[in-house]
Amino acid sequence: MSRAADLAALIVDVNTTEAKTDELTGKTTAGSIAVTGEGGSTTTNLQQGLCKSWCQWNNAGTPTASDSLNLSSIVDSATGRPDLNFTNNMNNDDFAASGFGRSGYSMMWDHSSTSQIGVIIWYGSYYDANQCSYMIQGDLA
Amino acid sequence: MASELRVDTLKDSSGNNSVGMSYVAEGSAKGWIKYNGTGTIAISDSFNVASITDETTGTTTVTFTNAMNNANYSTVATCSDTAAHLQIVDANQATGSYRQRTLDGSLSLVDDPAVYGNAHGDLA
Repeated sequence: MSRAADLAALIVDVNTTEAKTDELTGKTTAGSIAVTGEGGSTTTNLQQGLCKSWCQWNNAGTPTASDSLNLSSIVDSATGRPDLNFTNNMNNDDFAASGFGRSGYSMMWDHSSTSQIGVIIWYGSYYDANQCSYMIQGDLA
Repeated sequence: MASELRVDTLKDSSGNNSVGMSYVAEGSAKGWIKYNGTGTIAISDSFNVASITDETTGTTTVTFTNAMNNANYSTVATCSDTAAHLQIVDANQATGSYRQRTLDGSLSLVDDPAVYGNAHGDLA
């Protein structure tokens, strides 16, 4: 392909292989950046694929996050039923969540809104497990 | 006009928080879904999901819009209440679809009003 053709397609090939920026925004659609898939034959949507919130926390006693992304607080609503509040809201409450508890605890969705997800930690009954984790994929506001 | 940036590594403007494009590509979810598994099952929201099929009670096949590169991708699934304890992805996992099942505490199949699934792996 000629240099002129490259320019026409606006392909930027960074020879140093490193791009420094604080923000990535789609050119045609701000919230949509395509990333070539591992097989090279199709693309995936970067924004849609990114995890919008995750956390590992101890729900025994006062719930405490060990590490997290986009989490402002954990509210101890009842035994085994914490509410996890986001720092930046989701666009709707139809996001996909998954979670694990340690050593046989189950984790289930209880309720959600744009600003939080309430989960159930279950071990035959509501239970305050000491190591829990969740992640969320969906649309950020 | 579409544009394309070819780069191996992304960093913030201070040169910190480096992430390789392989992590961007491989670390991104290639599909996710929330759906209502009761009655006529319906997608609430999703990414890279073309359709869902109600196979039988508590059993749904999720079909991708763009197929995965192989059948060795990772899937996780979650259900929504204490009557439906467990989500599993059974052996019927292929490049174009996977099947997930909802079980209750007796390991019987049940329909659940809010079911989630996430897929990570290599896109075709």
